[in-house]
Amino acid sequence: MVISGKINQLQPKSLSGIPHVGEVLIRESCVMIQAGIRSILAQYAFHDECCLGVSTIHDMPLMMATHKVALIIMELNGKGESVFDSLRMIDYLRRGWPSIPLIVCTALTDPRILKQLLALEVNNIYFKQDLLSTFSLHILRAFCPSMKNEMGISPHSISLLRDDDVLLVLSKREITVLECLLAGNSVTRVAQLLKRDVRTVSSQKRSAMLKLGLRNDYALYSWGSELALQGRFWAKDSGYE
Amino acid sequence: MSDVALNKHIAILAKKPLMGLGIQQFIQDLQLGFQCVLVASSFLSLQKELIASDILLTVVELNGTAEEVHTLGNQILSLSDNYPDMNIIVYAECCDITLLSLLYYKQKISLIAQGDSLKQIRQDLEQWLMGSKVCSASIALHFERARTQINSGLQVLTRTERRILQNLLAGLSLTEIASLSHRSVKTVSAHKCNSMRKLGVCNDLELFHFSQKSGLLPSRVIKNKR
Repeated sequence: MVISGKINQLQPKSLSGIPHVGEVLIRESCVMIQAGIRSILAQYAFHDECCLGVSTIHDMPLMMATHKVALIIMELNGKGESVFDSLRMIDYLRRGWPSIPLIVCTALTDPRILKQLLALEVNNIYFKQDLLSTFSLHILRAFCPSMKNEMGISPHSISLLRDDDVLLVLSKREITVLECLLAGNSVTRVAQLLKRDVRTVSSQKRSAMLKLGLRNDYALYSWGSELALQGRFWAKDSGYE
Repeated sequence: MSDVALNKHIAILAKKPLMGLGIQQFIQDLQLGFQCVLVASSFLSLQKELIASDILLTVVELNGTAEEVHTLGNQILSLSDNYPDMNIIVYAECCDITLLSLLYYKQKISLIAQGDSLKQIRQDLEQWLMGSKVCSASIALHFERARTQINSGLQVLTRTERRILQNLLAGLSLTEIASLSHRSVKTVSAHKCNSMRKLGVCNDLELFHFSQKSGLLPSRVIKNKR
């Protein structure tokens, strides 16, 4: 949308005048990509000492509480953590710290997850395949009040979206049910696990599928396996552990 | 060795721009005087740029879908063949042990795992830049585990079963083995069936693959016989 035209005019210098605003919380398990993010941040006067790197999602709330965080950059997939954990964390961060800008920086290109992010009002989404200048623009956008309301999604990802899509956020419970189902449990088993009636779970499953635009079980499970494939190497039993 | 010490230029192949920049930054931060002069996002452009350069060190990011990994793996192998003096380090996210061992089999290819800790990666990378062949501890463990699994499979075979397997792999048919060992074809076949059950393979193809991996290669059999 906005990106392509402005890249050339916006140089890193335009931010270096901004006073020191706080630290940057980076959630990224790959060491090299973290180094890459840090070196871009350094162009914007966020030097190494004000970058907080965490490799797991669950460290994020503590960091948020103990540091003055000015920007959050997070990947959706992590070692042993699913994209659902990330969605939950984003929801939590959005509620607790609505004013802190959040950039999702991910390798995951799934239209349904992308829609969930948009529904959660995450406006800065960077795909790791995109150009570096796009990433710089995301950082700029996070700090320029005038640009805050613009959508910051790369052209690549816009092609994944259709206009007629309705964006509905999955509820916490729906995410839990989805997770249990995709882990291989039947609806009855999920009901037992969550101590709810089968009908409750079934309707949560249905509403989750409706929100995601999944028409039947086949679509649900093939989506699940696709998602698992994209995050495959981060899975708990990937063998490196 | 002196060549490597003189030439401190490095090429990087990384699909994601952030990864390319990150590796570049990382190597610069090591402050060993190495310089990344070439960052390519695809194998073809890397190959094109390499022709005109004197680069002897290449860092390759290996991840993606199973197919992408496979293609890139083969490309790395061919790169290593084309530039026998080139030291390549593969920064691998995948844990496809067959592909990794193929890569590691090459003298000039080193491996590090993306899942490793910062300290570990820094140490491995430094060692590699100093000119030694590196295999990250987690991948080595993976190799080791695969090897012990295979070996323990062979332990349970009886001596006769092992001998028959070796003969089979040397290219003899069941009938030939039977006449060699003065047993009925049925006996030999039963031995073969038993060993296949023990190894958990269900057809000849799997049996052959398994035996190849476990180092039960025909050459060794022939040597033993002489």
